[in-house]
Amino acid sequence: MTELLISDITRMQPGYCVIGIEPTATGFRSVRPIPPSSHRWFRFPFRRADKLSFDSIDTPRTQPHYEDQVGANHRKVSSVTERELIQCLKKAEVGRTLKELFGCSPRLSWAGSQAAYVIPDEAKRSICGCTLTSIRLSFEFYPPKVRVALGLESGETLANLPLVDRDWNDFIDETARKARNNSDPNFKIGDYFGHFIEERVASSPYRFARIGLARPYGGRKCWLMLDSLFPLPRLDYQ
Amino acid sequence: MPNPDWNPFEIREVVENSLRQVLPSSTQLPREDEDWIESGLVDSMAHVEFLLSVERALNWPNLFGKAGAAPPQSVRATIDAVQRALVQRIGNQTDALKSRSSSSEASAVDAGIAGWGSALGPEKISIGRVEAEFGCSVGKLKERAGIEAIRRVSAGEDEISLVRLAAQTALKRGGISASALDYIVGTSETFLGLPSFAASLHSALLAPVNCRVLDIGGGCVGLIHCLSLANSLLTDPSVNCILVASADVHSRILTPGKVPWEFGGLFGDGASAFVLRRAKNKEASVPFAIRASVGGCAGTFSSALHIRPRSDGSIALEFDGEALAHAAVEVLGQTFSDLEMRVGVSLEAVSAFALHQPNHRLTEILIRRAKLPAEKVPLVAKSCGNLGASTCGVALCNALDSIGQTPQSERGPIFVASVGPGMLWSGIALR
Repeated sequence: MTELLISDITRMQPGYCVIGIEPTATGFRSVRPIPPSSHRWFRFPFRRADKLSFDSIDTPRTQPHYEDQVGANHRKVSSVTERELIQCLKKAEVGRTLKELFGCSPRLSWAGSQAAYVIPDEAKRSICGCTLTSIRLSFEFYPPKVRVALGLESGETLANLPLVDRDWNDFIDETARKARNNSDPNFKIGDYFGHFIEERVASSPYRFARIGLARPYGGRKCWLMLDSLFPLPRLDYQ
Repeated sequence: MPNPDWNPFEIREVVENSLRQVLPSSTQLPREDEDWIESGLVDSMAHVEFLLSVERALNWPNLFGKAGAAPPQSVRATIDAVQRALVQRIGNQTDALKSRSSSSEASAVDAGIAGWGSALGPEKISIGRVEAEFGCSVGKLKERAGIEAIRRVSAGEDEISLVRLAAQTALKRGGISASALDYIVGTSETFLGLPSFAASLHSALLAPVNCRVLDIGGGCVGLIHCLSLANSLLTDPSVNCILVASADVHSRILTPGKVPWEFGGLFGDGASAFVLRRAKNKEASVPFAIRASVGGCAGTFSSALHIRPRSDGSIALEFDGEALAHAAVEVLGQTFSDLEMRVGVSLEAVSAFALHQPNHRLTEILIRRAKLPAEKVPLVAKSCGNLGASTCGVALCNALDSIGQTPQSERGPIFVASVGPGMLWSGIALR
C-alpha cells in the first residue's frame, strides 16, 4: 500500500493528470498515480492536499516520467492545508535554475513562442518545484489556452508555459463565465488577471510553482508545463 | 503591419512552412481539412507554436487572438481565417494608410548605408601562442574552436583609436564629413569608463556639438541594435546622417589568470563603423537600406553566460559553453528563416550572410545546419577571434567590400544576425 499527498491535478484534455508526494528518509519525492489502462484520469474524485492510500501495481519505467506509478483502490485518508502542502513540496524535488529542474538544459522552440522543452533522453525526472519571482498570464488563445511567463530566482525566465493547473483553470473559466453573465462590456480577462496576479501571487510569501513535463511530442520533445501555481486561487478573489 | 498584398498562394506557403516547423521530423503535411488536434498530429503546445509562427511570418501579432473564434486546427481553416482577417483589416486601415502616407514625407526606407570601414588589432597572434599564454594543452583551442589566430591591439591603442580608424574609413567611403553627423550611435562590450564610448568617439572625430551621442548595450548584438535604432532615428526628417560604430578590445580584460582558456582564448580586438545617410532627394535612393528587422530576448538562457567585474578587479564568469552554443545555432538559424519570410526571398538569393561568430566551429555548424552557402559567409573568427559586437560589423564590412559595387538590380539582400548574452538576438536585412 502506498500513501500519497496529492499535490498537482492538471487538465489533460480529455481528463486529468495527477501527481502526489510521498515521504522519504530526507523529505518527499513525487509519484504520479495512474490508472491501469491510461496515463490520465477521466474521473478523479479527490482534491489537491488530500492524502490517499492505494495499492501499487508494478509499473514499467519510461524516461523521463520515472514517477509513474500504476495503482488501484485509491481512497482518501485525510487532508492537509495549502500551507502545509507547500511546506512539504519545498522538501520534495526543487530546482533553483532551469538546469536543476529536470537535470538538463531546456531548449526553446524558435518556431513560434519560445515554448520550452527538453529532450526525453536527457531529462532525469518529469516534475520539479521552484520559487518564482514574477509571473504574467497571457490570454491570446483563451479559451481554452492560458499561457504563463515565469521568472525564476536564478534570473532565468520561461516565456511560454501552458497553465494546466486544474484549480487555476477552473477559477479563470468561472471568472470569465461570471463576466459574460454580467455582460460587462469593459471586462477584459487579461487586464483583470494581470492586475490580480501581480497583487496576489507575485507578492505572496507562499509563491511556488511546480513545473512538469508533457509526454514526448513526436518522440523528441517534452514540453514544460505549469502544473501547479501557489498560492491557489480562492473564491473570495472574484 | 501585415502586407495587404498577401495572395492565397503566399498565405498557403506561410501556413505550410509554419506547420512543417512544428511537425515531428519526417511527418508528412496533413490533408487540407484534417483536424490536427483531433487526429493527434500536433499536441496542444505545438498548436500554439504553429499559430504564433504564422503570426510572426505574416508580421501580424495577435492575428488569431483577435479573431474571436476558436483558433483554426486545419490547413484550410487557417488559410480562411487569415484571408478573412486580411479583408477586414484592409478595410479598416485604408483611410489610416492614406492619411499616413500623405503626411509623412520621409521614411526610413529613404536611408541606407553609404559608407563602411573596419579596423583590426594590428598584432596577429597565432593560436599556439594564445594556448601557451593561457596554459592550455597544445592544439586544444585550435581543435575545439577552429580559431587559427586572433588580432590584438598594440600597447597605446584602445577602443577609441581602433574605432576612429574604422569611422574615418567609413566617412571617407561615404563622402561625408564628420561635421555632417547628426548622431553617433555606438556600442562596445569592453569600454567601461566615462565619458562613454560614443562620446569619446565624438571627441576623437571632432564631430559638431549638435551631433548627439547614444551608447547602446547588448554585447555581441550591440551593433545590430545600433543599426536598427539609427534606421528608426532617420524617420525624423531633421536627421540626415548617422555614424554607427563598434569597438571591442578584449585583450585588456579577458586575460590569463582572470578567465579560463576555453573562454578568454577565443577573443580578439576589432572595430567597425557605418555611415547611414538619407537619400539626397526623393528620386535618389541609397543602397543597403534596412528592409527588415527581427529580434528578441529569451531569458531562458540568461544563466548560460554571466560575466561581471568583481570589486577586487577579477572577473566573475559563469559559462555553459554547450548550452550557449546549442542555443546560438538554433536562434541564428531561426533568425535567418524569419528574415527570409519578412523580405520574401529565399536563402539562395541572399548575397551575403554577415553573422556573429563566437568561434569558428560554431560558424561551421551553423552553415551546415541552416544550409547557408559557405562562400557567402565572410569568416572573421577563424583568423581574428571573436570580436564581440564588432564580429558581425567586420563581417558586414567584408560583405559590402565584395558586393558593394554590384548594382542593386543584380544582387540579393545581405542578412546580418547576431546573438548575445541574455540571450538576445537580432537580425536585419539590407537591400
